[in-house]
Amino acid sequence: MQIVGYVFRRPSLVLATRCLTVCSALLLVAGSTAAVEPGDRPVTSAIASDPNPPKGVADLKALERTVQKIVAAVAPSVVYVAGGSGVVVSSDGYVLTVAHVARRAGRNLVVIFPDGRRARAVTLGNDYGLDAGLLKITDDGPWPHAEWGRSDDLNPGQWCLTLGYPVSFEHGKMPAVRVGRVLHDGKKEIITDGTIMGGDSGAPLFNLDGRIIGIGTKCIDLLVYNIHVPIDRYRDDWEKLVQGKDFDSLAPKQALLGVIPADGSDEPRVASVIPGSGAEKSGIRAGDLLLKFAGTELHKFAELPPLVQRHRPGDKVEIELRRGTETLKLQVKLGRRNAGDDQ
Amino acid sequence: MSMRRWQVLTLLACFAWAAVQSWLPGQEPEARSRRYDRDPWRLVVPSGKNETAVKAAFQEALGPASAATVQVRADGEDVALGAVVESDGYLVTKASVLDGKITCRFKDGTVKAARIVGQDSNQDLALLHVDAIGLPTVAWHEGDPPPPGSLVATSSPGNEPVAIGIVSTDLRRISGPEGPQRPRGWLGIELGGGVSGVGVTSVAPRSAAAAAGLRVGDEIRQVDGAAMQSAAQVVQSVGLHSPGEAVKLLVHRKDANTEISATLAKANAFPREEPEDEWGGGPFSERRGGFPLVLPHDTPLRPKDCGGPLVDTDGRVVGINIARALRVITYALPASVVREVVSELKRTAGREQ
Repeated sequence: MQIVGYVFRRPSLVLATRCLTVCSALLLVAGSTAAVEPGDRPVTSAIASDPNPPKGVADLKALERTVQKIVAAVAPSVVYVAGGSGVVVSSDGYVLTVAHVARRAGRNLVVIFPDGRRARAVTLGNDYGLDAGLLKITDDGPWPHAEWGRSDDLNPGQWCLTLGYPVSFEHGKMPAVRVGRVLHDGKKEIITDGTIMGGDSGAPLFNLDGRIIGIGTKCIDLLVYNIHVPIDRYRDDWEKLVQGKDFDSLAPKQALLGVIPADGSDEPRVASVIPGSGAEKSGIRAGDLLLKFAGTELHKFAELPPLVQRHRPGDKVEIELRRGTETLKLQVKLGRRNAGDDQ
Repeated sequence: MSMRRWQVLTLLACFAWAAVQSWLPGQEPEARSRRYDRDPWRLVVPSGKNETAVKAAFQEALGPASAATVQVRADGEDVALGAVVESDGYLVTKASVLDGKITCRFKDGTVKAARIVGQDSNQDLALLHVDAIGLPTVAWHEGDPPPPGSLVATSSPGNEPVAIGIVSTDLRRISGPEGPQRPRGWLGIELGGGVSGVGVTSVAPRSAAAAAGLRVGDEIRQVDGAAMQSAAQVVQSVGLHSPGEAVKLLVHRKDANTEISATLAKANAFPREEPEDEWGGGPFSERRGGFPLVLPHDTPLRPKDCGGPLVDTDGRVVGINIARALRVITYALPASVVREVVSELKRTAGREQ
């Protein structure tokens, strides 16, 4: 599917570049506040998941009362941040937004609450595949916050609300409310007809229990095609996001051998072995000189990574190496490569 | 003027349509090629907020407001909706779209000629009068404007509201150009080629430029006899003309100069290049800025659906839709503002007579 625009104030966004660095400085921030978690998956009420249209004026009025109540309750937690929007999800100030607003771990930003309060924040992790991003307010709370809902049990037809700061709406004021219904409940994206546009990147999507079910990310020209990141994917990613990792959970899984070369040396000699990796389990040790990988001779260490990437995690390959004067043949089961790993 | 983007958006709309098709069985398979041939907001999506069942539920509440809603036409073309505010023939509608012979079509099908009694260009509101008595009138919402989250519907003279939505924020002031702007002629080229940037890099299909025979690679050396040094100068010179007027171009093509005369089209037939429009969802009202106080709501309307009542779940009219403004927002003039304007316009008209 083609996208007209990320719902963001600055249109020139390049998300194709994968940034796989881990910002270790951030671990300090995250480490001190890691007590906050998305919590258990709450039960969605029958009203919130009801896919049926209102049957008459009485139903409409009931819907209206619910919507007005939710708007009043959640609006204080919806913040303006860096040309986009976000929602505070804990009293100590974790803020859900999207990766194309947060951009990368370790940036210092300011979030602005509807009552005009400003708070300093730092970006934590980003999942560029899903466009999920996390911030942490570094000023002392408590901060108004909204509750986590679930997105894996959505019902197409159920009503939803978006609150955010679309272009031309002032920050430091009440966010603009939009109503819609869930039209498509994918694992990677939720489609609704609650319209979003530039500035709504990171805007929370609520169900009729007043719980967050998604975060606004993109739209296309059609008014009934507004795209949100499902909240359950933030749950899945939570540990990495809190640790300040920038990653892409949708990238194809890559194989990992688990050997690290010596700095400044080009020879295919193992300087160290990643603990728990296939290399370690098969008995490869520091100092071994790799001769062949799956039948292909190695002359330089740089030749190894592309060979490993021809395989998938779990594949078994034969490695020939020289240890001292001995030549050994070992069977290695390849593991899965994480962001930042060497070969 | 940016043709390339228009093409891209058109293309995207087609993809979007195909994407919707894939998860919406029962849609007409008819592919729409031009961006505005379709009605993006009117797309009745099963289980969407504007599916027929939702509108039907609201119609129950709309009864009296629907009877007081009219279709406003200019020279026979639908340009706006209108609201009957007094039973002896007074109506309000959006002023800036009234151009030509004005008629109103009522719920019962009767069509009456309308006279413009007065206009408030500040609010973009016009007071019309038709020769009639005993017309059903709107019931105004009294007191504070409805809070954010209130459900609203835009009534129509038909059997269902145009669309439903909710109030998005408190009342706000909208800056921007007040009053209608002079329509600019539209040639339909993109510039940027050649040494000085006056080379044509694209020509819009069906545009004035295409009809006049302009081609990619042409360099526009003169407009109306004046030498052109930059693309901006060409844009400015062409823009001095109104739609329907001819512009004389001296075009350099393959080492020779050719004189070309192009009859300009109306610029607003194509998407405006406002920065807030890049997220699609148009078309938008031509006059959509410069309002002292509006009630923003998220109802998807077309520009020609403005001018009529915005109604709450009690059937009370909370405002008059005055502009389709953004992908996510429509503006309504609050009821209190409309009522003041109506009495002021009546008073002024009475004094003049």
